[in-house]
Amino acid sequence: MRYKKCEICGKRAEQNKMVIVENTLYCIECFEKEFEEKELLNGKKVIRELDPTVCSNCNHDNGGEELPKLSIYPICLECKKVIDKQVFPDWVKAFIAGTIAIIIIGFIWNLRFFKAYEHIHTANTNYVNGNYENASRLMSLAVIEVPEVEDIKAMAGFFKGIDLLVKDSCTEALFLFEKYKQAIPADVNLKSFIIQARAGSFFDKKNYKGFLDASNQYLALDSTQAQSWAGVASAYSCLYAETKNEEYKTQTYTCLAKAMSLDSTSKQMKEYMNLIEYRIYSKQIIRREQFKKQFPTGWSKI
Amino acid sequence: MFIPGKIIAIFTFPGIIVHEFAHMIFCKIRKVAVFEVCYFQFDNPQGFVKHERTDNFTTTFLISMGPFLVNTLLCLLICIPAYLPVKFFEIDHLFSYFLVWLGVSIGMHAIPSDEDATNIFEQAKVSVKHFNILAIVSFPIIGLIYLFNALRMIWADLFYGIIIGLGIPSLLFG
Ligand SMILES: [Zn+2]
Ligand SMILES: [Zn+2]
Repeated sequence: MRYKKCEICGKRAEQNKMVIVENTLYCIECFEKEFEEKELLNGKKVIRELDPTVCSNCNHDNGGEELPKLSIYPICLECKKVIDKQVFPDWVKAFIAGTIAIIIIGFIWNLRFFKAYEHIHTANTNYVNGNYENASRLMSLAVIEVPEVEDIKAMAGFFKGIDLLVKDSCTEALFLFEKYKQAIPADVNLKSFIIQARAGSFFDKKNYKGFLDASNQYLALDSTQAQSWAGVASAYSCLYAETKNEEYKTQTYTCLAKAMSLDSTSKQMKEYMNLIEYRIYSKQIIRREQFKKQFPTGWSKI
Repeated sequence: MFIPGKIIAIFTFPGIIVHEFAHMIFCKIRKVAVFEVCYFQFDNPQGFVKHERTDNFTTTFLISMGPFLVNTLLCLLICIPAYLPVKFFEIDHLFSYFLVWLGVSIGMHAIPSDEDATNIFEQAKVSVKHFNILAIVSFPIIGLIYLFNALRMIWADLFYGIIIGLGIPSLLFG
């Protein structure tokens, strides 16, 4: 315990029983005498002295040695332990640790959903940008992460189908479209892809009447595209090559003229028309890749 | 529908514990002595932290607003992993629903109580005379806290928990 000298009466008093008013140290007797009327303290800075060797909680006297502090209050080790336990008990520590553990487990446990989400997101971007191979690959990775979600499986099948369709594997594409058509969202316009795949599949099977039929269905969906008219022209040209019926030749040129009126400049269209003209001239039905290989700079009658 | 506070407290007890923990942890950070804490009880208030008085407005503000930061953050962190399976992939899984319950329970107790707001208000009145910017900014915040607590009658706390726990992830993941 420490003692200090009162600046008013000069007596030694316990430090804990002293008060500082505006930088003057009072013992408790002098303080009570001087400020009997409480109003006298108004606007004055009053601080209670704290003996750093006496616990402010249990009054334990630590002799000459200073105690550790809780904020400004000297606290003995026993009291500090009790307060710490009360302020942050073990069960709360366990609760907070448990909550943090649950957050970590939550992220690890559901990691596959984050991965699947990321794959789906990138797959969709690739699809929109026309990179169907990547779109299909990424959507299949999403299926591996969340195999229980049927919609994702259907979208992976659809993307694979589109990839096959642009690679002219129409029969396989048609199989996938038919398999998943119930689960594919309405806004992807599956019907037109199915018709395209059907047309290609008929072509592969040399069923040119079926090819014409499917091409006409596609034209009925959208007659504003050169591609639609060129498809019908292609079907007529195949029938002409097969049957040598002049009527089909006339129909081919009618549809070609229509296609040309809509688009006579794009590279893709020019190549396609060139192929049809070659077919009419040679009465040979060859695939597009084969034609490109045979006539890398295009075909002309000479 | 009126459900007594005690019943809500029982179903959302993790939120109350985290709320008091947030007050306590900000006392520790700002080196303010804590004398007594109740993390959960059935009586009103359902929890409290008794700490040393401080004249530092920033300290009072942080201690009182602590739960807003801590509960909101935890609500978000707990609910984000559950959002994708529950809402995006629509997979029913008990653990996901447990996470949503825990997250929303914690989020529901994010808003400081009227007592917390009063603590800020009393000191803001003094600090604003010294042109303390934070004190000036705190007045509308205090108003919002009182308003929010009045709206607890019509489940404002539950809506807040749902907005943080499910609304924000839906913005992140669409
Ligand atoms: Zn004296
Ligand atoms: Zn003690």
